[in-house]
Amino acid sequence: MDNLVYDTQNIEEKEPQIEKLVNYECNDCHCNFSLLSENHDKCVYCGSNNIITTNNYNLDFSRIIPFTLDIENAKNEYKKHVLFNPLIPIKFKKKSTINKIQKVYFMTYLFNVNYRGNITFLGADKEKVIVDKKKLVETKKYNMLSEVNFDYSNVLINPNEKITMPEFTKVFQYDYNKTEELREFDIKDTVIINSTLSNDEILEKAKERISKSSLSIIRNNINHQLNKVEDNQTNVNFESAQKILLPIYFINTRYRNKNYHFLYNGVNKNTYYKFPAGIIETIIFALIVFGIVLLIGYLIASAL
Amino acid sequence: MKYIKLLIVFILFISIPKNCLASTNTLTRTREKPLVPDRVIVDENNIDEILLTPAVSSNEKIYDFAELYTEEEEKKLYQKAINYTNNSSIDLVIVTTKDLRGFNLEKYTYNFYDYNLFNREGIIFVIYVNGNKNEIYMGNIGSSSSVVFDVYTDKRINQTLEYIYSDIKQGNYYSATDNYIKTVEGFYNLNKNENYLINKEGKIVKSIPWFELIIFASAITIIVTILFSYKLRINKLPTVYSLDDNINEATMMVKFTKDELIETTTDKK
Repeated sequence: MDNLVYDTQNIEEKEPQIEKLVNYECNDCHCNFSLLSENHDKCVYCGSNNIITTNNYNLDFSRIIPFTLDIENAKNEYKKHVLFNPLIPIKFKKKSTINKIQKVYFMTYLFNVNYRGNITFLGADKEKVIVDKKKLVETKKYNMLSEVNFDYSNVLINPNEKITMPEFTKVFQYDYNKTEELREFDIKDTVIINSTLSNDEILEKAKERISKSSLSIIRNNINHQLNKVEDNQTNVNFESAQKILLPIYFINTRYRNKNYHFLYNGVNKNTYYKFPAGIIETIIFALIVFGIVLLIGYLIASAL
Repeated sequence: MKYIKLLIVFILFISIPKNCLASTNTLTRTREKPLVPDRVIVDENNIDEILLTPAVSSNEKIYDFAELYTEEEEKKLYQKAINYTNNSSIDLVIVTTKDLRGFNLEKYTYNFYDYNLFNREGIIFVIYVNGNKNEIYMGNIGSSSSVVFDVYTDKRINQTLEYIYSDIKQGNYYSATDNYIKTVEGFYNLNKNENYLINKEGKIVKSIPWFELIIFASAITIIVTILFSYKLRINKLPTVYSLDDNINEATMMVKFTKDELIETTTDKK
């Protein structure tokens, strides 16, 4: 990994297109988000009022994928999962909660990357053999040298630590041929959730992901039972990188000191959710099911 | 004239009260004529017991020595007993007494049945009125493979006696006996199915296997709750975050330029 190199200068820094974007930071959850408006009073992530405006800055995003789905689609999808599950706490089913579903743009990074170089592997095969009527294991070791080249395009990196990898992978799937130039009306009244990582951290994350993916493919091509990287002389070269705003309907509900997300892709309906089971709701539900089953069982047993 | 005589005889026949169905008349046993069924071998060991046991006509079925029933009640009970016997071929005998003739209740019950000319298979119910203290007993008699033992198990006999005892205690002897016949008839119809019992209304009802039901209901509750819990999070999440779709296959290259054996070792397992 030490031999991998990359150039942070390749991240595109576009000329400012939209002025006066207000940056907010939440003192409670440290979420960082931006808006064109200066009148926002709640954290988009945790709902706390304890937010401060930090430095105003100029928007430097080059591309955007605009919303094509209405917020009603997102609300209906949310209701579909929440309203019919009796274990989910009432808090999640309240109209006021449902109305908190909001339209947000997540700031992400899109890379085109080349991974190339040489990797030396130590391969090994083990085989059972019988020598002088004794069962032994014969191990053959191999020295392997591989030349590799991978060109990756549109590798999306999640720069927000508050969004987990399963959430990101499940929901953040877009057709990047449909990106558009950013216009001011695209983000009017819409929150932009900013990166929580620095440029270097994002590149490191991208590098790690590309390396893991490439190594996995290379290993699949090795014909020996065991393999171990002995020497890695590969480079990760970022050929292009751009910031991109991706449309998501989002709600974070805090319940028993934990955050529960519902994410709904604003273009293709990909959804991620995770809800808790309420203790009281679970007990009531279990008692009702138990009572119904017992009643049915009693009626059947009496009738037979 | 002949018809007039017949008519007079008929009128007399229906007008004279008949007391022959449920008499408490007994016959007299002697050592020479003990009046026992052929299957009973009379010898010195049992002759005293036989002589002490009341000898009755086996047709009467209801032997109300303690006079607990009215004439009308005896008739009704007799009819029910006959119906049961005709239906089942099991003799149904009911005895009420104030005198056990020196036997205990169990002995009296079995002696009464064994030393009178009843069927080989039968059930007998005895109410012993002893001042304010009433006792009841139910016996089943038959060969070893007899159906009476399958139908009238100890458990069912206890259930039956337990159920009717409340009426006996309150002096409702007819009601108790009537319920007794209904119950034994019900058990006969249910035959060997053990999952029945008598409810408070005297009906034979399905015995509810509550323990099994509770286990079953608990299991279903757990399964349904787990299924709903499973729906709390989205299914089919990717387990591998692959970038395979982002690779340009036209330019992809994985080429092994060297693959040489460098060492062979042999070890114990």
